[in-house]
Amino acid sequence: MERTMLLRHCVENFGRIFLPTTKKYLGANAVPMLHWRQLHCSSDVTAKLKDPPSVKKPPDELPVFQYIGKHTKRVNKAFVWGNTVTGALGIPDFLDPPPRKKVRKYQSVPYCLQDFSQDVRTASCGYGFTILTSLKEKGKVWGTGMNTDSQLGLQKAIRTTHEGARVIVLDYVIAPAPVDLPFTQPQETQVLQVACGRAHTLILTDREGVLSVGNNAYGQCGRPVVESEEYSGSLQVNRIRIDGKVKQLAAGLDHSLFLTEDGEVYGCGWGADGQTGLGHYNSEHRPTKLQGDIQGEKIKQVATFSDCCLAVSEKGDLFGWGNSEYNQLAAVTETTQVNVPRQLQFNYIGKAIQVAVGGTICAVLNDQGQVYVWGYGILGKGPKLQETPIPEQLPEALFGQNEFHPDVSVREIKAGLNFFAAVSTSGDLYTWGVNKHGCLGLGHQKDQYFPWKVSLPGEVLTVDCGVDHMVAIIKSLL
Amino acid sequence: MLQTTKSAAEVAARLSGVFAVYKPPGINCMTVINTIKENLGKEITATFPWVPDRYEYKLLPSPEDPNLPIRMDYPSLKKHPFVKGHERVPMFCKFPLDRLSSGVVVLGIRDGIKKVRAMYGAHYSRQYIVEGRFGIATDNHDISGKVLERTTYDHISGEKLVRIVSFIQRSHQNLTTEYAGVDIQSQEAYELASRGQLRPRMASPPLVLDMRCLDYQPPDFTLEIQCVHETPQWLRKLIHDIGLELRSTAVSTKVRRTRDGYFTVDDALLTKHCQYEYVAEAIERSRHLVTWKKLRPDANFVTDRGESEEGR
Repeated sequence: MERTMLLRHCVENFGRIFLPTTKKYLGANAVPMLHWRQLHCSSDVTAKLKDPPSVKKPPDELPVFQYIGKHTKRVNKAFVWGNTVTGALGIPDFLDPPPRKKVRKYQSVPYCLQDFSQDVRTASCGYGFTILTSLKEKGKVWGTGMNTDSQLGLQKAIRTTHEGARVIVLDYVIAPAPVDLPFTQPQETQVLQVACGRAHTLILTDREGVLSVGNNAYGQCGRPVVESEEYSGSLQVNRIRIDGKVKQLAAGLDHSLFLTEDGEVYGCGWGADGQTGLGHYNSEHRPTKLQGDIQGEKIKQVATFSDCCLAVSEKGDLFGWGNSEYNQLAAVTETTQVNVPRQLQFNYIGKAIQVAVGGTICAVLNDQGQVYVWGYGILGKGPKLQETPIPEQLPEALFGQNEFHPDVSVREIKAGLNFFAAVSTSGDLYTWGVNKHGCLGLGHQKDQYFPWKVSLPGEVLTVDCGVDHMVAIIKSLL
Repeated sequence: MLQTTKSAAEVAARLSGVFAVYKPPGINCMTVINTIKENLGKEITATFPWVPDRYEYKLLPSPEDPNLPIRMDYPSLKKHPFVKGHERVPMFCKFPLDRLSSGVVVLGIRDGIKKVRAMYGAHYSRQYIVEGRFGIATDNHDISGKVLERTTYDHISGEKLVRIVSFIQRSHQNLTTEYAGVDIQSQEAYELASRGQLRPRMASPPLVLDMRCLDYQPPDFTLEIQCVHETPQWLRKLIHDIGLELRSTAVSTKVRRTRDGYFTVDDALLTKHCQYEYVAEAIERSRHLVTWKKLRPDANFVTDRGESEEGR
């Protein structure tokens, strides 16, 4: 009887781990310890031990791992680099670092904007701020960076101090925050394009026209100038009325250009260098149609960054107006300011399809994918070429064309203040120019005198350049 | 040609130059080279049957009178091939292949050894046809190794493979220009870059100059790779990396070198053809590929399909 009881006891308690657990046995301050089997097994019954490494399994018995699904879609990602100090890159860890990390003043290598979890559609860089739009919510706009003139709309934050909670207006936004825009149909409206100037923003929508936010000291927002208006913390959003449907925007330092679907260009803002192209050197707050050599021409694209403006017509002709102190328009005129659009005749360029303008530098892309540069500064033909009044071609070999890949050419060209960015047909980004605060994304802060490839983990869709920072939208490889 | 010369030693001394051999897979490269060396030497020695050139004598006691020595002449065996050994043919290879790979191997004989050594300083590029297979990972990145992991690969389309391959090739682009040995901030760098001549001219890690996908029959794929300063095992690792980029795994099934510098598969001899006549003819045929002009360190960069850009 006792033996059967003992046997039953053994069978029932097979595998149970017996340890001293009562405080009386352990002592007052002791901690009950775990048996080694309790650490390794989750169940009461001891599990079968793993095969030792010397036991070889034939390959067919190995499990098959799946790392990616068959129908995984490629996603868009935004990469930012350049000057971080204003918060234009949208990464709060750079300026409000986690413990034991330092503040990062510049980012000289592309950094993924992962906080912006929506698929990024477009990005626009201004002077110290960035505006982003997404694929998922097409009617919303996010802004980050400098907000001293409410170029990102009104951004508020709650600060709690020992005196209580206060609402303060933010002058600098360090992570992408939504820009409140007063749409009449917020669910249906889609934002097509955003253009950023020095301290103002223009937003082009599909059914509600053009909205403008920010500084209006010279009428660049399309509304009358108010003397000593306070722009910081302002809720003013202006809807600009223009005859015709606007299809493209361009914003310079303190002026704005609007291109309609009929191929007409309207301008407003500061005109001291003639950048409004309206025939005078005064500021103008009403968007007025530009005359001059573009009258009657159907314009395809306008570009401006600071004070010089260039436009390309459907036929492939180049037109320019504005500042010409650095020989940007010296091919047609000796004067340093041109306030009426003039045609720039460069027959050897071929048919121009895209144009990009910086502070002192100009570039044009023709339908063969060739890039021509002119102006003053680092143009991209080595340290020797400092200035040229007429366009000079950059050899295609610089953009990755060689005997192995003869078809590679440039697809898109953009300009910052004194640097260029070009996207090639193979999906690479090439940058060159003055490398201030690492804005070229090459990993160092030395100037780059000819196009150099930026390492990005994907196929570059588009890029936008600001004064000292850049944003690239890429499509992931897989 | 053999019959008009005097001796095996002279024939062996006159055999010098650079030629290429096609190494089959599965054999150690050094074994192939040593076998060629030995067979050439034995063949040269065998064409000249040994004829005694000197006679030596021994003085032996005559059977009739023990005090009167008889002179016995016998031929000197000093130069007999069984005593001296066969003729030596010094050969050297600077860029051998490993056991699992196959392809063109450039060998230098006698005075050609200097030229083959100089090929290291010329930084030639080499072209490989590499075949791989998705779905397995092994310990040595080759199909013959121990399988460590299996993965799915049905998500890999031809378009994805081409995209990844071109991305990897373009990611090496900046490095090839960095090792060109010119200051990127100088006008000279721009001049070379605009001509597409910024290539590695100094010791650098293995770099890919061009890579493209020739064929994809799932799970097998074929790539053509032009690279510089590489080893066959590094190419297998590259195949493994391509598998990882595609979120799967890959092993190489075949690594075949089709061009080494200026020597292509058409110039290479098969191992069964490494006899004196064919070797001498191959040396003559390839003499124009190893001129000292082509071996200068900064001279030429071999382009695709054997055409070269002449250096300045």
